[in-house]
Amino acid sequence: MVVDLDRCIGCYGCEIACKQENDVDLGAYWNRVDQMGPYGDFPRISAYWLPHACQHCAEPACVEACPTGASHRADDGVVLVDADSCIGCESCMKACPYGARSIDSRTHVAGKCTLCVDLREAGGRPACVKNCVGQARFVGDLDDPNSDVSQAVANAGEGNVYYLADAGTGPTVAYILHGNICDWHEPDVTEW
Amino acid sequence: MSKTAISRRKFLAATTVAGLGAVLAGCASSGLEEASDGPVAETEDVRVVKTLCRGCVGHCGVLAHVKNGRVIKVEGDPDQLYSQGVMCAKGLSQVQALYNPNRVKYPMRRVGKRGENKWERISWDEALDEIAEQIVKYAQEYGPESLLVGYGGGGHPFQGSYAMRFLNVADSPNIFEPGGLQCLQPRAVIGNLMWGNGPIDITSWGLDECEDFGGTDAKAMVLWGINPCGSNLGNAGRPVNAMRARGMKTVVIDPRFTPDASKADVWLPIRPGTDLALMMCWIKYIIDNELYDEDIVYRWSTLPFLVNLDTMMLVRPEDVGMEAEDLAYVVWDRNTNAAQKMPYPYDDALDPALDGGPYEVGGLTCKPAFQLLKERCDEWTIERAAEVCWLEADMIEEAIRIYTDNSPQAGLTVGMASDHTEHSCQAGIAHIILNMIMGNVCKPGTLAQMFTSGSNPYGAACGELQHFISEGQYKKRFGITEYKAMNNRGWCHNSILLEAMLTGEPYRPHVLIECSLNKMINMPNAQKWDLAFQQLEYIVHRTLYPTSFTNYADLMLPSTEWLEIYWVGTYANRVYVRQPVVHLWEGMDEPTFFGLLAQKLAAMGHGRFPDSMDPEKCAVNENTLPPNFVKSIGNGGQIPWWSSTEEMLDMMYEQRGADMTWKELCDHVAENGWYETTSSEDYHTYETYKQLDEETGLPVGFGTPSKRLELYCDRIVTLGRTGAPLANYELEPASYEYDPLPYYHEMSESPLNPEFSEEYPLVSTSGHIPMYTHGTLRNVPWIRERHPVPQLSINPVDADKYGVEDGDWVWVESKRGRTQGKALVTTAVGPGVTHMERFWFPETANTATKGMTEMNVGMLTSDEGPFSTIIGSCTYRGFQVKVYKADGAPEGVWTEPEQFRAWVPNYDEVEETSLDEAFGGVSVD
Repeated sequence: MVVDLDRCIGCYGCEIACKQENDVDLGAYWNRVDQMGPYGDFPRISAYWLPHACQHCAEPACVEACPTGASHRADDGVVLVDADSCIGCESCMKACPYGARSIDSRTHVAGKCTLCVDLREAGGRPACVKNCVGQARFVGDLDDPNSDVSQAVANAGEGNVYYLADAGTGPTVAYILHGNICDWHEPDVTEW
Repeated sequence: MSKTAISRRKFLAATTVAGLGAVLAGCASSGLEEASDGPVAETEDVRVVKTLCRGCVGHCGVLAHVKNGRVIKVEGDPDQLYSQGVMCAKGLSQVQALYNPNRVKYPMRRVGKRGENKWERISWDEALDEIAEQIVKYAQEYGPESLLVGYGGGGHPFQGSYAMRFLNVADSPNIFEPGGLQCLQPRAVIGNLMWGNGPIDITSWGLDECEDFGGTDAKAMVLWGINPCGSNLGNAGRPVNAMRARGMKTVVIDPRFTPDASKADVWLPIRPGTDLALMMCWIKYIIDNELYDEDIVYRWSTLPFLVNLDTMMLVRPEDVGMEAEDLAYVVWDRNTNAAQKMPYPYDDALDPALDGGPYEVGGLTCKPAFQLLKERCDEWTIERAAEVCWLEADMIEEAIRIYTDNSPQAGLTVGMASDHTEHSCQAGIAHIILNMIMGNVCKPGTLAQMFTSGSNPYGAACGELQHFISEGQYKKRFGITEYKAMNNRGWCHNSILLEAMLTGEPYRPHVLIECSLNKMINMPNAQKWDLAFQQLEYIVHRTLYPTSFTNYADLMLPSTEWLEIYWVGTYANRVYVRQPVVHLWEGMDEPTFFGLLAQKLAAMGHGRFPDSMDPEKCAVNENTLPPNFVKSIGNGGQIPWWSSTEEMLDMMYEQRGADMTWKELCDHVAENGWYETTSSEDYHTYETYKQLDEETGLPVGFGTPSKRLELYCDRIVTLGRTGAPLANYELEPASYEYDPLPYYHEMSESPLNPEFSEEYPLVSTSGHIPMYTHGTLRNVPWIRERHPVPQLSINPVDADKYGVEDGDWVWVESKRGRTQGKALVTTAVGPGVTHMERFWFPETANTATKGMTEMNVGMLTSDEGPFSTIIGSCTYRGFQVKVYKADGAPEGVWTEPEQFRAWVPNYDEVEETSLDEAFGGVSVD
């Protein structure tokens, strides 16, 4: 996943698209948008909006913490939860440095972003991507230099692509942000 | 790979509704196609219906996924030209609104006291009989003007025009519409008069005018008091954002640091209520630096023409002893140093003076209109504007230069901000001047265009039968003499109505059929309206769910969500349909309701209702127009009443000679994505005003009587004197002259006015946030859990001064009342300024507060004058408040996600119905 923060307009539509597609429980978010800023002195201030969800880490701490193997990394690199094996022990929730997981109060199963695995298997795009009003989200294979996501990162130019702080987990969601919109500010992920 | 938790739950949820049957109403057989972006579920038959959203005033394209007769999700339709497949939070939450347990399901008659919330279920036949009887009873006793119909901006997915038609037939003059006088119309009326094409406003219609379809992007756009990324997101926000990403420069003028402001090249955080002063500063800068487009100003505008200083009218040749000539005016010619006749389109031998004067011409004292505009703006130097508008001078100049350097491939769009002030029409005049004077009209990349979609018989608005209301009744419209621009659509002046309801002067209305969701958060000074509504004898509320307003109702009727209604959206050269995807319980849409009620009244022989069933009497011609009727109205859609919306649409399409019925149109759209009225190339034709008229050999010009851009528009003066061209009948002159040039005065409740600012030191504004439109969606769990209460934005400087911390519950108080909000301490508003969005609470709607006093900006806004001239807008923004800490949250208001579980759809209780059978056989014979 690549999110172009220059284009994210902070409309929160992707939160609702995600809730609708994945029937996410009230109070829980598999995808959330936080405002960063405003920074600077009025009236010369700047801000951006940061959508965040599972970072589909290369070395996911949640998978390591899962006692049943329910949390796993699929062949395409997407981190998933097998609901049948999940015992709702919250180990993965505690292990995730990005607050991306929650336990559904109705099913007692851990839930999180799957990049809309059902839609992708059927040849579609995740709900947050296709409905995004800012047209700011892209999904694809960052290892493939010809993919949309790789192109977006390449076009952004060096120094304008950011990742959330790496807690030894290798987060893979790339954020594009240019200084004419706002400088990147490291979010306090402990509040997520 | 194993299945995830999501797909398993989805399958279980789907099997629980199998017993509901698969009744698809409307175009069930036609508007279906395969999903384009992957099916929603892997095992069941999911069908996809193309329709249009109505979560706000826009019409974004929607694909509704239907499984076993139930809408299981909505997503954006890539075929819609403007929205291109995107959808915002409001539209995406529709399933929770559609199937909301809180919906009104059947017609209900009050059995307890008003507001006691005790109801009995009745049939639609009984309900319509009762309403018809009450209308007749009060009309006989007090005259037809006893009836009011309210609708519009309350956030219902309203459909328009049917209520006006109903009142015209009922011979009653008062449409009660909060938005009419302070939402778009002040600029719409002015735009139509000045250049024949309405205001420049991208959030009211969306944006095709300058995005790159065969033309080119705008190089710069000025977003003035408008936030497309927070209001009409798909139709306006998406294109603006896309063009910005491709390099379009933007200037945002807004007291709030909106998402659009965060991405702007220059943000001017203007003091609320002073926009007009800054517009006049921009005009002065453009004039003084001679940055204006000479071709447009000299050849295509009225600015070089002489104005008679005594009458404020443009001088015509015959006024000064010259021979009369169609379309000719008089200029001061610098070549001959004399007044000369300027024919249409132009005489190159003349060199008109733009400034100077006064000139004595044929006994008249005159100046060029341009000179008058220049004089009017002369005080507004950048330094003066910076002082008055609380801005920095260098930032103002940088903003103007972005606009002027990129003209004429740029646009300046305004929004609601100025409509909510005493300057509503003056800002309308100024924004037209600012676009046109820079030549930003009818060129690639300009917002002002005259594209026409060719011959298009498809639409959904009906003819309004304006020729049915009698002259005497028409002239009883509240405010008709002083605020004649109201007559553009037939609204009455709300504050004069309010006084009439409370005092009986000049007369008291008795019956109200209210079709908007919740007037109590849309009317200024809500507490006064609370008293007024209690004075009415009989109130009907057509609504989606009970709201604050339902407390006054005697009859509560189920209306329809946007997935249940019809509409036709023409965007550029494409026609799209909104079609009923499902129909639930006994909800009745607006056209059907008024059609059936009219037939009841016709059967009773009431007034002109029997005539309105006769096609010959509905048609507009010399036989049917009443004596003294002076307005020009068309014959399109002037049909007799109907029993269903589909019947109405088919009648209109037949009358207009369309090839297809409604169902066939839906089939066509399903198959082709849209119906094309003309090719994209023909649609996107620029500089159409220069095309030659075949008969005269002259350019066709602009859509005004002078064929010019009437940047000095003396028809505004005429409007005030006679009502022409908007009123049905000639009216008495207003008590003041309507001024065709902008002029600024401080808002009466200004921070510069110590009478208010000593006690109420902060200037307040309001506006949309992306989760809500007007009064909608406060009962939708996904939306409310994210934004449960309104935020009162206050600058850290003021927060310190008034002892408020971020997250505190606060009181906000104006001269009229007080209400609460949750403090957001932020530099997103400047020192001295506050912002709060309006709110009501379904969970407390049936308590003593009516859900409307807790956190409602409507408790603070002003119903009192001075109103704006010409149209009479009230003050919703730019008035003074004070902010202080509250002890805590208001009682009973929900703020925690778990509390909203009560409004999660319970599909076991949903009744799917067929449109044909839903109303239980209404008898209209």
